[in-house]
Amino acid sequence: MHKKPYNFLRSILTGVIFLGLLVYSPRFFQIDYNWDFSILPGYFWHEGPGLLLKGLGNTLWISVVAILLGIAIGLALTFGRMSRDKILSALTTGLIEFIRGTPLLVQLYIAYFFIGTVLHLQPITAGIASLALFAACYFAEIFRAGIGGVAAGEILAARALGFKERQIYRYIIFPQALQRVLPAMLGQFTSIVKDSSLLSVIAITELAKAGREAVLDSFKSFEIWFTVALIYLMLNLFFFGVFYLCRFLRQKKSA
Amino acid sequence: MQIFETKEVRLSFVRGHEVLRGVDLVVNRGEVVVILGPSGSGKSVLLRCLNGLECIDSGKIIFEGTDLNDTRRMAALRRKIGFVFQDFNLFSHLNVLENITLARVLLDRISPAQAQEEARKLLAKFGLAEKERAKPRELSGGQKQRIAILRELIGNPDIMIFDEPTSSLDPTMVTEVLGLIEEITREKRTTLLVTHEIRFARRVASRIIFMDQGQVVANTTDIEGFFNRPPTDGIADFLSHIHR
Repeated sequence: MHKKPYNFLRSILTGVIFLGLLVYSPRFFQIDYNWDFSILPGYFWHEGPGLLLKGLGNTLWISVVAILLGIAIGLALTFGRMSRDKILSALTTGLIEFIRGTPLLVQLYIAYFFIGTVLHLQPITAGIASLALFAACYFAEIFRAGIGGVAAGEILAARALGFKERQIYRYIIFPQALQRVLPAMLGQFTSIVKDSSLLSVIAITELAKAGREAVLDSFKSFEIWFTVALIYLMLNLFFFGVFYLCRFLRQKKSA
Repeated sequence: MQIFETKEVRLSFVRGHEVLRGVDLVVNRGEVVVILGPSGSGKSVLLRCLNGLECIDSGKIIFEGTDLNDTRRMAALRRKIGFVFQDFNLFSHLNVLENITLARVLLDRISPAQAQEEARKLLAKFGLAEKERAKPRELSGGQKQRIAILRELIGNPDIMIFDEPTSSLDPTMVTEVLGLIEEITREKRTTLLVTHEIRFARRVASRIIFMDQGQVVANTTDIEGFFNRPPTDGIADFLSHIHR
């Protein structure tokens, strides 16, 4: 009974959106623009790797390094936050909340203009460090939730059996936590790939900046930006593909 | 020969409210000691202290001549103490065989093949052979508790401690778990059991300890005497309520 008004409103909203699309869609094809996709291959390969391919390469390695560093720092932050040492726990919590509570763009500016100036950091170092720390704080919360989800009774039973704390983590907590955190981690991986585009603001030629340069060079903004968007999408689909393949193989193994 | 001895054990979780108020207790090798008492009397907490799962405020707990307060070898000593929880606490990501053999392989350092052979013998002996590949979620409560008992038993501990092993089970499954515990007691393995199954306690106990408000109120080997002529009115009242 209660669902009816909600369903009705939803139907109205869907109808309005479809109607809008129907009315406005012809305009997309009526604009005065000469589509020319023939310029694209040159930006991938022209007597060597082109702008977009170089940008893609940079995005890839920056993302992978940020993910690996992020996981390592994230694990350390998790243990820091869960530590019995109240000072360590408070400091770690403060850092995590600060990073999660401020935009990555602002953190990048601080890392590049302030910390980078003080420590004489290269833009790429400041950029990757910012991205890795940003990712680490999200990973830390994902890990904490995963570890917290393991039944306390199982940990107690392992302790009663004579397992040492290190062994409890290795054989009881981590295998269960890993299962729980994998989907959330996958989401974080894709976020990092997308967030790496922000590094363009500190003069790092990753895929988004390469796209901007290609647009300035060719004036073919639509073709270039659609292509850049497609590449980001494909990258993330690749991550999803690897994740589901791993899950499929794991299920097949345990069956 | 004494396996456990506790001297003046005291413990409080909240300042001013002691859960254990000077517990003195001796468990001798081969004994089946049943601890009875109302809820909140400190029975389960005492058992956890014996296994080092709770740290006591004062007093001494001596296990086979070693003071548990002084030892850094707690993990190794725990291999000699089998501890069965009320809620089974099987490792949910492992199957039955892995649950039983994990500690044997990792802590006792025997080969996985040998551990599996031992586990399979135990499973067959107690009618659980067909469950070796099952995950805990696929088992009934009674089966889970029997597996939890076998997980401890395979390490051949010097004492088996049971903390209300049938409290989380529905009545139809209690019998199968009690049957297994009774079989263990028949093998002359030292056993310390907290239970509300009075008839079972009367049948298997060689010593009865009654706790109330964190203290040992009665400690006797005269089992029939304890049940027929309860030493205090409080115990008589408790037993009459349980029997009802």
